[in-house]
Amino acid sequence: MLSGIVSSSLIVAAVGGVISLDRTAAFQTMVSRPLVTAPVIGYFLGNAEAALIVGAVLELLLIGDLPVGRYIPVHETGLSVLVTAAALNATPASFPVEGVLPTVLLVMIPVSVFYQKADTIVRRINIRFFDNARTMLDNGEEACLMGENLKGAALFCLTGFVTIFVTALPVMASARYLRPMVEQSAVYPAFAACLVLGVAAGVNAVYAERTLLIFTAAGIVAAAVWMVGGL
Amino acid sequence: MISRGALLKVFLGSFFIQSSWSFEKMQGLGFASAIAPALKEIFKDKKARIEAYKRHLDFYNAHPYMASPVLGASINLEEKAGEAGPGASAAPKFKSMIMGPYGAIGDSFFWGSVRPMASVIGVLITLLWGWKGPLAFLLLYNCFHLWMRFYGLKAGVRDGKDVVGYIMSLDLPEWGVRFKYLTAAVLGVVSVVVLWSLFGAAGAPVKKWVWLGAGFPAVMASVIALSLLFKRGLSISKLVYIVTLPLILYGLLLG
Repeated sequence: MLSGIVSSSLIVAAVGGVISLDRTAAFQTMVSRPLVTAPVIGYFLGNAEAALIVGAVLELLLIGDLPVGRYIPVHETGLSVLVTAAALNATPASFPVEGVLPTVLLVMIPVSVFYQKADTIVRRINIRFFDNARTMLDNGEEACLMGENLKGAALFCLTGFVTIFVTALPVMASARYLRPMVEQSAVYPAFAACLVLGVAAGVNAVYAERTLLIFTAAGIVAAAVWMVGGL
Repeated sequence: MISRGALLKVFLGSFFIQSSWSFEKMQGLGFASAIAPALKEIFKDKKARIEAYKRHLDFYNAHPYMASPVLGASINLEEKAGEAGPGASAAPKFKSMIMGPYGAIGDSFFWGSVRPMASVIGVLITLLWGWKGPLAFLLLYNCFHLWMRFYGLKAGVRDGKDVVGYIMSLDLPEWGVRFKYLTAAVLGVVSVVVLWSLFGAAGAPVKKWVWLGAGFPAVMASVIALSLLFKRGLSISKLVYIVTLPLILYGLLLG
C-alpha cells in the first residue's frame, strides 16, 4: 500500500511540477489554473470526473488572487494538486467528493503557504542567472542568454516537483482518515457554502459600478428560466 | 528587415519571458533572451551584438503578454540603430518609458477581466456539462492571450514607437469593463445553477418553487454580503475558515 502511495505521490508531483511551470516560468496558457490542473491530476489518480468539481470550486475561490508586481499569489497549482489528491484518496468510489472537499480545503490552505515560500526563494535565487549572463557577456560569451534564462525555468519546475512531493506523500497517506466524513451528508452545507463563497470571490474580482446590479438581474432571469423548466 | 525565422524565434522566446523572474531584475533576463535571435541577425559584428545584448539585459517588468509589442518595437528600434551606427539605439529608453503603462493595462485587462471571464464561463460549463468546461476555459482565454502575443509582436516590428497608438486603438480598458459585466452576469447564472445542483443533491424533498423561493434570495444576499466583506479587506483564506468551519462542525455534530 505504501509503495502505491509513494508512486502516486511521485506521479502527481511530476505532473504538478511540469504544470506549475505555466504559472510563471513558461507559456502562461492557464493550464496551471485549478479548473484544468485538478481534472488532470484526477485523471492520473483514476477519477477525473470527481476532480472536475474540485477544480471548479478552487477556480472560483482563487479567481481574484492576481500576480501583480512583486506580489506572489497563492500557489494555485500546488493547492489544486494537493486538494485533489487528498479529496480523491479520502472518497470511496461510490461517494461524491463534495462531502470531504471543505474539510480538505481547510487543512490544505495552510500548507499552500509553504509553496508560496518556496516560490519566493526561487525568485531570489534567479538573480544569480541574471548575474551569470552579465558576467558571461562581459567575457565575450554571447550564446549564454537562453541557457541562463531556462535555468530559471528548470529551478521553478524542480522546486514545484519537490514541494508537491513532500506535501502530497503525507497527505495521501493520511487522507483515508477523513473517510467517515464523506458518509456524513450533514457536511454538505459546507460544500454549498464553498460554492457561494466562490461566487462572491468572483463578484469581488470583477467589481465595478454596475456589477452587483447585473449579477442580481442575471440571477433573476436564470431563476425564472429554471422555474419555467428550462434548466 | 529581420527574417521570418528570427521573428518566429522571438515569438517562441516570448513564452519564456518570465523563466528567470527575480525580485531585482524581474523579466530582465527573459526579455534579453527573447530578443536575442533578432539582435543576432541585425548586428553582424560580434562586439556590436554583445553591446546590444547588454542593452537589453537590464531591469524589465510588464505584463508578460504585453511584452510582445515592446519586443516588436525594440526590434524595430534596434534595426534603425543598426543602420545609424553605435550608440544610436532608442530601445532602452522606450522600454523603460512604456513598461509601466503596459504592465498596468495588461494586468487590468488580462488578469482582471479576461481571466475571470474565461474562468467563470469554464466553471459554468463544468457544472452543467463536465469536462467541456476546462476546454472552453482554455480555448476562450488563449484566443485573447495568443492574439496579443502574435499581433502585438507583429505590430511592434511594423510600427516601432508608434505601437503605442496600436495598443491605444484596441481600447483594452473599455473592453475590460464590458468583460467584467459579462462575468457578473454569468456569475448570476452560476448562483442559480448551484441552487439547482443542490436541489438535485437534496433528493428534492420540497417543491422546486419553494426551494427557489427560499434559496435564491438567501444565495444572492450571501454572495453580496460576502463580496462586501472582501471589499473590507478579508482574504479568501480567512473567509473560507469563517464560512465553512462552523458548518463542518455543525454537520459533524448533527451527523
